[in-house]
Amino acid sequence: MIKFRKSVPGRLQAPKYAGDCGGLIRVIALLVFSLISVIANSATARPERIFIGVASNNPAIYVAKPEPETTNGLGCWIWDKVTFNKQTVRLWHGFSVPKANPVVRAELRIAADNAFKVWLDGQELGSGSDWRTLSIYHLEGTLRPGAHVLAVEGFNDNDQAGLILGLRLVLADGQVLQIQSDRTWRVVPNSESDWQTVSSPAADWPTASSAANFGRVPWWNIPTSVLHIRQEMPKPISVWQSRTFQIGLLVGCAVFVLICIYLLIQLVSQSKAHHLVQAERDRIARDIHDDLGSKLTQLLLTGEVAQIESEQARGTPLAQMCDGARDILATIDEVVWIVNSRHDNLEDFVIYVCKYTQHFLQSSSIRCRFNIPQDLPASILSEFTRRNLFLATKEALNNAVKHSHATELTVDIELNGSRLHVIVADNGRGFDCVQAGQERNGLTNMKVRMAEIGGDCEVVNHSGGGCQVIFRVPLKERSFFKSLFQLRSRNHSADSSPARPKDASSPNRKLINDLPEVA
Amino acid sequence: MKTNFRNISTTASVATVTTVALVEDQKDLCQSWVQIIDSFDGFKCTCTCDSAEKAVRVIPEARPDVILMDIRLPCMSGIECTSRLKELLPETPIVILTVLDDDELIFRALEAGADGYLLKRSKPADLRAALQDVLAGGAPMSSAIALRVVRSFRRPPANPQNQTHLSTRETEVLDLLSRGLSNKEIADQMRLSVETVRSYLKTVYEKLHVHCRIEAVMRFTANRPVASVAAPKNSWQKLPVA
Repeated sequence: MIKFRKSVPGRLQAPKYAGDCGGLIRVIALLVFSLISVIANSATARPERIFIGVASNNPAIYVAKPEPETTNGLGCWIWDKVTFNKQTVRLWHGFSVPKANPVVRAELRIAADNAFKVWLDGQELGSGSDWRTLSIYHLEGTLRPGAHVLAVEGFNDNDQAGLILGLRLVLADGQVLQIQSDRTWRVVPNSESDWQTVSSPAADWPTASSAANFGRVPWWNIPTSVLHIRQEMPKPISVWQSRTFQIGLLVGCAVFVLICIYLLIQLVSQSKAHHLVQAERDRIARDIHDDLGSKLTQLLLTGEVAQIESEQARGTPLAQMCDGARDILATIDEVVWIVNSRHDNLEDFVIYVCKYTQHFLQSSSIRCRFNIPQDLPASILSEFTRRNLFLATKEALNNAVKHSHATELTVDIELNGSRLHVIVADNGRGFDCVQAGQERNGLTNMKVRMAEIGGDCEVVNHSGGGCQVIFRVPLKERSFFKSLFQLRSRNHSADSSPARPKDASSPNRKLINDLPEVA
Repeated sequence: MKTNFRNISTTASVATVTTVALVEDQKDLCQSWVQIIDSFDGFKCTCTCDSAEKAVRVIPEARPDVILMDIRLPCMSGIECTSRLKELLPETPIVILTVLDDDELIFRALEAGADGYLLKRSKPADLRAALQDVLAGGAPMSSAIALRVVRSFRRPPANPQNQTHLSTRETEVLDLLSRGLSNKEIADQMRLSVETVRSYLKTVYEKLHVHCRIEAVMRFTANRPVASVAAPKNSWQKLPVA
């Protein structure tokens, strides 16, 4: 399309580059065409015709005749330094609304040669494609205080190009802010993406050049038509709508998913390791039972037969040997019970403690009583907890038999919320901490054992005689993550110090070290 | 001499010889057992089997007065063997022998029909006492086993209609047992004779078998179509109606 520029409507203006064309015929043709078009424009002055369809459909858009004040507040025609045909120029301008003084009304006037598309804070307001038509956007709503971005993409079809713009902001207190197209606008390189919302311009964005002041050649000082458009102002972007937040959220989600996957892999490998350990424990238990147990039993029976066959053998070291073998078998019983993962539960623990106590007190003159709750929850009691709690209970039984002079001993199993209480009470002369401490350090042992499994131990001496040893252990199922991390840390500590010699004084020393204490 | 009829009130004083059958897979151990049993007055080991399969075949013909059964046997376990022998010889008491004091295993054996249990490491005198006790109709029960029995009966059965219930008195005896009281103490506390307490325990044993067998049948029929039942037909014939 060939354009004719006029400073004043009605007056003919020769095209700037007409001479460049050279051909007389072409100049004449241009002159005639421009004359016709200008006459048509000025004479008819009916730009409504162009928009009539739009206006009838959308009440928010209407066309008005230009008034002298229509062009108030417009800046100058701006463009990139260079101008060429089929050129797209992106123009960017940032402004800020003062705090605590929001914009209540805003009017944006804009025209471009040849076309524009305008965004406010990344939201498209509209577009236009006629330099003689001034688009006025009546923005309704509130523009929040803070930084805003006005972005315009201009397109030059042919010949000279320019964009003219004026934004009039009425603040809450009546103050008026004017933003105009001027040389402070920045030209955004076409390679830039999301430039409509960029909050601050990059240093390498060139400033816009002034193509002409308003009302100067080659453009007119009054538009042939004015297009009024009512539009909502861009809604203030909430924190969660902001790009930064969304990207952050996305990254957060991705990180979370990755962590989950990592933990899952850890869990799988650990549960695999756990299963292996369990299988190994069961194998050890089986081997001890099948090999050690059976062979020792055989030995014991051979000894018994020898005693039966020979009268002389009775009451000799042979009998002692048999008793020794019985003790070892009892010890093996205990090892197998501790090692076998089948017994990693509360019920088996309780039953075993009862059995052990009954057995242990059989040879003494102490009667034993049990108080066991009717309903034991199906809680898992790890080997570690089970072993420490059992050995601590055993210690308490040992003390009672050796020092208390009691006639009756009660083992109470209580469930107090998520805690398991094992109470060993006797009616003897009480627990003498000093003496006990000197003798076997039993109390310290019990306390250390309980501390290792996150529980505690309390010795209560009753004035009327008797003593209570109370063991409290948390039964609460550990949370998924906690157990995961605990497993990890345990694995780490095990890995980091594989060669560390076991502290013989620690109650957590090797299993087999504990067991010869069996009475 | 072998007696074909079990004398329920057999004691050491009675002149008749009590025949014992032994199921034990280890030869040396088996030999030692035979020697020990034979050394008791009034006891004679008349039949030894080195596998459960052989035991099921041989023991019903031998008709011993009491059976000693190792719990761990190759192929068929002592528990299943107990269950099968109980079908064939319901009156013959079976005493389970075990290397280790695993109360869960012992409990399962009791469920299968065993009448007593003994650790292999027990002194010969204890073995004799256990044999005499089981022949006298004793029902040995430690507090640990009592706890398991109580729990077993509290567990909801596969079919509520067939549930066996313990009577109040039986439950009371079991409860006191699980609290650590001896039979004599229970008798004192409940103002009963020791014999009555023992008879209660005997009933508990029987109900335990019934309980266990109904459970087993329920599980069996629930999992398999009836037509393909491969077990001997008479296995379930004596199923008591609850």
